[in-house]
Amino acid sequence: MAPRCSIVPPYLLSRLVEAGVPLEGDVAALATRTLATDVRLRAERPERARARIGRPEPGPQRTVDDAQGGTDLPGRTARREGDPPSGDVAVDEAYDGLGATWTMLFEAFERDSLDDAGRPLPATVHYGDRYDNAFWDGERMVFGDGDGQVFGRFTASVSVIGHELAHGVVQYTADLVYRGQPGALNEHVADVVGALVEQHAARQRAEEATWLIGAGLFQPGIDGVALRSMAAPGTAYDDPLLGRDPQPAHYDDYVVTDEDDGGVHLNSGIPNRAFHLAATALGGFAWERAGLVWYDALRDPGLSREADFAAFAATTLAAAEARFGAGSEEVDAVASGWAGVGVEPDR
Amino acid sequence: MSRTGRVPGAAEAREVGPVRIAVSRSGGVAGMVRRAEVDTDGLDDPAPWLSLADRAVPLPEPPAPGRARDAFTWTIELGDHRAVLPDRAVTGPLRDLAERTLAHGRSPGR
Repeated sequence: MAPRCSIVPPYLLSRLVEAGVPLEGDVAALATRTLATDVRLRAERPERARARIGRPEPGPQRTVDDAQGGTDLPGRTARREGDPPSGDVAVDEAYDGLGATWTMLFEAFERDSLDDAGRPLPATVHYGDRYDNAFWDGERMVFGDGDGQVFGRFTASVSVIGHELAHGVVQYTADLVYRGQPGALNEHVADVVGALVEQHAARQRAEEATWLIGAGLFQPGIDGVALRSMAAPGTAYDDPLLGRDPQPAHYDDYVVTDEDDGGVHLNSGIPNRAFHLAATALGGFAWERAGLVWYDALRDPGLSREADFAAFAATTLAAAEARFGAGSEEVDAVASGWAGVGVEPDR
Repeated sequence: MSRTGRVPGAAEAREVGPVRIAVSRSGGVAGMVRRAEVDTDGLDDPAPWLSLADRAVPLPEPPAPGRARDAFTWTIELGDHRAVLPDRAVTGPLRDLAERTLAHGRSPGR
């Protein structure tokens, strides 16, 4: 099945048409076609159409709040869906990043928000004092401003915003336990979505993409390009202040530790590289094949909350086979991805 | 108990005695670990540290796993006490002590 792709998001086209904005030429034709597709989609997916009652068109439902340097959530509302830019860079970056994430999920995976039923997307920015983190608190995304020496604003990277929202998607799907291997898979899926949001927004092919997570967060003078590299885990930074990127790129180097919930942000390097290998072997837009396979695996009811790498690898292979057929190049690419990082899928 | 006439920090310092404080803050979306430690024995002015340490014990029990993702994880050693705690469980004097240790302590192994 071919995912729908267009430069102008369908929900935006619908809105233009509804608002009576005159469309001409190609745009008008595109709008007509896109809206027809949307109608067909609804006819095919009655459960989703029901979920949209009261919402004439699917689209993100964003609210960005401002914690104003404190730690009380949610903070003061700074921008609601449809509001013009606020002028506060962090508020507007969060708003745009949430939009880019919603659009990727909808256009590539036909997923309507985190729960596939149009759940609102709340975020809080300016959290804490020089706070060096962004996190998903189970309800909302929360972004710090960074300390100003190592890190700047955590909203500056679309892949980080996509990563945080993806934790919400995982919560509504496989709900992988946040510890050890299932925890590293939870982190891995968040990185995959983060990378795909950035690539989708820029219409970047797998072979053109940076595969970096959190590029642009480091302040000048820090010797590093990003938080993580999916293409080459362990190479994102090497700095006197930060030390060296500790991510392993192969299962032989799996890190056993008490810290970081059992190394969830370290060992995610292993499946990250497997995904990168599969996506670049296939080429083209990564969300169209490798991304879809991973998304199918995430929703497979047979995937345990406590899945280890081998179990998840087997689920992705089954997903590739179900969607693209046994012996397809997609199945081969996924198999060689896992082989490339030393993970032997469960049989 | 009346504290009249006592310097709070100094009084608590005598009650607690010298202590080694070791803190690691791991996780977060960046997945970077920061570690630092302080030995109050070697400090010119241990009183503020000991006052915080005194009020930070007993260390809290780790709460049941929550839904937060990419939140920091703290490993805190305070003398004979040790706890691994999610960010939301590190509050009050314990938080002050943990952040102060990261800011002013020495890096282990350096």
